[in-house]
Amino acid sequence: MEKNIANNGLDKSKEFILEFFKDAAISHKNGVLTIDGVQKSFEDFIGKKAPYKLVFDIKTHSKVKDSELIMQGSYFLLSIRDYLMDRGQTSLLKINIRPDLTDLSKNFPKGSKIIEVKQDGFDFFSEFYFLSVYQYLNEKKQSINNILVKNKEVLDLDTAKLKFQTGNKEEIPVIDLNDSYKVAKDCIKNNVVKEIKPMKLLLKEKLEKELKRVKEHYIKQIKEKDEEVETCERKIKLLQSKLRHTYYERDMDILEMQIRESKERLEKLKKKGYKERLKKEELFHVTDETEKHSLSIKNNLINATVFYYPLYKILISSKGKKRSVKYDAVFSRVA
Amino acid sequence: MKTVNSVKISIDKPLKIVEYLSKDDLVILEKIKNRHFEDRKILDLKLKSEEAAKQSEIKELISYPLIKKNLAFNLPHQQEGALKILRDLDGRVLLADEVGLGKTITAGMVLKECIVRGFVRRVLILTPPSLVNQWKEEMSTKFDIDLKEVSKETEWEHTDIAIASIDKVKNFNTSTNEFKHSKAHEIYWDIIIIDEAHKLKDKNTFRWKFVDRLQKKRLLLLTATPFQNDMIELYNLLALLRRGHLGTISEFRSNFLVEGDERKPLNPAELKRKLSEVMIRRRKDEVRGIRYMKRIPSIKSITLNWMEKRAYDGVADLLLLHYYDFNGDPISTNLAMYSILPKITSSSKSSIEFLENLMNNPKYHPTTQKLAKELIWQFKNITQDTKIDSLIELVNEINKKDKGTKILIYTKHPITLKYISDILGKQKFKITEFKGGLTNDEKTRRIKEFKEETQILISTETGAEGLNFQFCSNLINYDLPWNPMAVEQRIGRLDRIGQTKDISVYNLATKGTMEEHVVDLIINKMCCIGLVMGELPIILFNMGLDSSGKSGSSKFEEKIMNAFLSSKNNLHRFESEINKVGSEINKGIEEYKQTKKYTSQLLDAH
Repeated sequence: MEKNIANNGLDKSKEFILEFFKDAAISHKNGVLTIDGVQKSFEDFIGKKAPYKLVFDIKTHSKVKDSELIMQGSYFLLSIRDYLMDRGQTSLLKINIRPDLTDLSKNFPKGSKIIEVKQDGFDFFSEFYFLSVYQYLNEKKQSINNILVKNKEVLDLDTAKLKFQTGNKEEIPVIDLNDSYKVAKDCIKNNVVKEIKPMKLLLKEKLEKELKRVKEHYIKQIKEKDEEVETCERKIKLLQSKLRHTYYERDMDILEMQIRESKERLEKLKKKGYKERLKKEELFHVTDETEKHSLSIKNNLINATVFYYPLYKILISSKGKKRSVKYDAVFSRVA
Repeated sequence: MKTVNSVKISIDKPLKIVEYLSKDDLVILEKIKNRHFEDRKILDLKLKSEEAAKQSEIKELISYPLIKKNLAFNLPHQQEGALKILRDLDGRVLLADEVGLGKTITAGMVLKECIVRGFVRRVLILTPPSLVNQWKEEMSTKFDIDLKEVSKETEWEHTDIAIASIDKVKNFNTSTNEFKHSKAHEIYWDIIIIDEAHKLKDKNTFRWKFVDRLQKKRLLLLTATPFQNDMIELYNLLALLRRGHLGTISEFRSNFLVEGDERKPLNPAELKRKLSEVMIRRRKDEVRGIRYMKRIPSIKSITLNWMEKRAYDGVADLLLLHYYDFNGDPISTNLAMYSILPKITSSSKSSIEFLENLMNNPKYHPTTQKLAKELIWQFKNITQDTKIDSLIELVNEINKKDKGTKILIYTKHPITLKYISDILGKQKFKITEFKGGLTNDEKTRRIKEFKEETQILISTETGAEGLNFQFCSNLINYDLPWNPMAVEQRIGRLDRIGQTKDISVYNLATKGTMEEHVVDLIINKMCCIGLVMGELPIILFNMGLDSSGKSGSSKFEEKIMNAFLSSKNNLHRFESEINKVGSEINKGIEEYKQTKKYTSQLLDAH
């Protein structure tokens, strides 16, 4: 049954589901993938007992009661991701490599002869997988990068070309990867700088637009208030001048009342400290927009792997003299 | 989940970049040191799981399958709205759908999606006080979001997903010149939702200022009527969302308002364009899947027999003319009256309960107590209860028309509930009782019982608050709260999305008593005039009648009681007073309809 399903051109999510539940009992009928006999630890984690009825389109989902909709980023897939989060964090791999004697000969003077090739201890390098999650506005992006480090240096090596098997921890000493981790972390930071470039551009453009709106708004607000103060002051002067030139008591009373009112208004405007208040408000909104358009980055180490491999002692004879050298077959280096 | 232990902040001016480092990295290095290695295949699976779980741009609501089972109906406009808010509007929006389209559900979808996608950690919902519990319940049952109510100022710091009554938290302490809940302003909220946001129409209120000072990444303002009196209210609302979006107030006036008329837009097309950048509004007639059922009012007039009439008039006289305290001074009756009057019109049982309390309480004058004793005797000698007989007759009529149809009977008083239940039980009707104080499990059990086994549910309003009975279409108000909001709540249990029949609202009213006129006003002139659920509260709010008055009762109720007191049990005078209230309400309704029309003309015109 599984084969049939696989042949039907499954999408990546479906393939992943089948791989994840490879030890479970899987059946497929009418667009519903039923999964039973699931590990208890997964049932406990997800808080729901198997069987799980998995469907891959909304239409089927609405028809099948208690079904789980599987699509890119759906809740069930998120749960599997979270389940695996604390698992698979470390690995130990042994590279099976023997020196290529033809290649090796090129390292020695003409006429030299390899007498003996003998394994002599192990060396290792490490690999770090980082998950970088970028969150801004209502967007979330992520990338996974792996960095290889040996002797505090980042390696440019294609591990896919190497043959390796699960390692035996008894063959190697205790390994402290702290220094290598620091190197890898610095390297990932450089990667991050490149990756966030388009995000930064987008955010900057958006933020600048918003900040322009806020700033212009407050420039205008302050200008309007300034004008209001000026108008009020002009009005007081005008009324005072009128008062000086009037002879009728009734008009004087009215003018005095108007002056009093305008002065009160002016005092109120100035007392409130409108400039400071508006500047404070502006700062609040600038900070608010800056926060809103901030970019948050999470760089999490999700796996550290130790690759170890045999070193070789090569006994060579050249011009009647014998000497031995150490050979690193992974990097084709003679020590 | 991984824990974040240190935060490094670097400012790349003007852009802010925050980088989080995980302490779990060190755990992994420690595992290596301790020679704890796992199968490499798990890593391969893990990398694939990251790929499968990767969420790219928001094209659909990935949380919808989680909540779908909890929603009674799939209404596409709600999902579309939530998507638009997140995808196109950056989560800062005025959601101004017409009443009845489920703005709460749309907001809940936005919130759930943000939580599932990991966008939000700190959430705040602000609602009017009367809606806090409703929100808590809806978010819990439909979205599995547990909201914690904040009422003390010390609770802010430790509450990540908070709900609060905006009326409570907006309190300003004039002596310290600070908001009592200023702690809320120190938090950076990932999302804030404000229900009934039209209450933020005035920027000079503490309510507006409190909201304005909140730091927020996303803000959802919910209201069907973003402006009621003039367009400055709309300006003030949008100032909370995006300062300066409509310019300064002077610019707004000169660009968008006809001089001298703040209700008229000068440039409606441009204003609409500006609004579309921050607002979502859908009309009822453009969404699919919602059927609006009619409310059919029916008043069953009851003619009291002479013994009942004598007792009823006796209680009214006692209250108006012989209600004395121990010293023989007339008791200032207003406050007491508000709670007493509905009791004496509810049932003879609740009248007797009131009179017995009066008779046994030494704070009353012996004359009053003597009268009470006499009236109890009169009530107890009444051989026929006309009101309960009429109820039996009504229930039989409904049952005859549609055999076995579900009936919900409401009463204000638990003692009346028990009385009705006993009497109808003797008539061989299967009954479920529903009152305050039931546990959630018990409530669920009784709802199930009513849905599947019994025909009649008798309830007090505190019992059925927030519950849905859309499978029932007959409501009987055995007595009526003199508060139209409470009546609206009663009808609202049935008048919900999913109701497939027109709703019959039956009301018992005693002829020749004030009840007759009150029922006519509340039912025929307010609750059953074709308004959509949720509109009447807005109208009462507009009229300033939604809040409590000095007595603690609603201001509307006070109006009715005052009419009773000033009429001195003269029914003609009472009727004329009630008619005045009716005219006032009618004016409010007309104004609301005008506002709605005005809002619609501005926002919905093509």
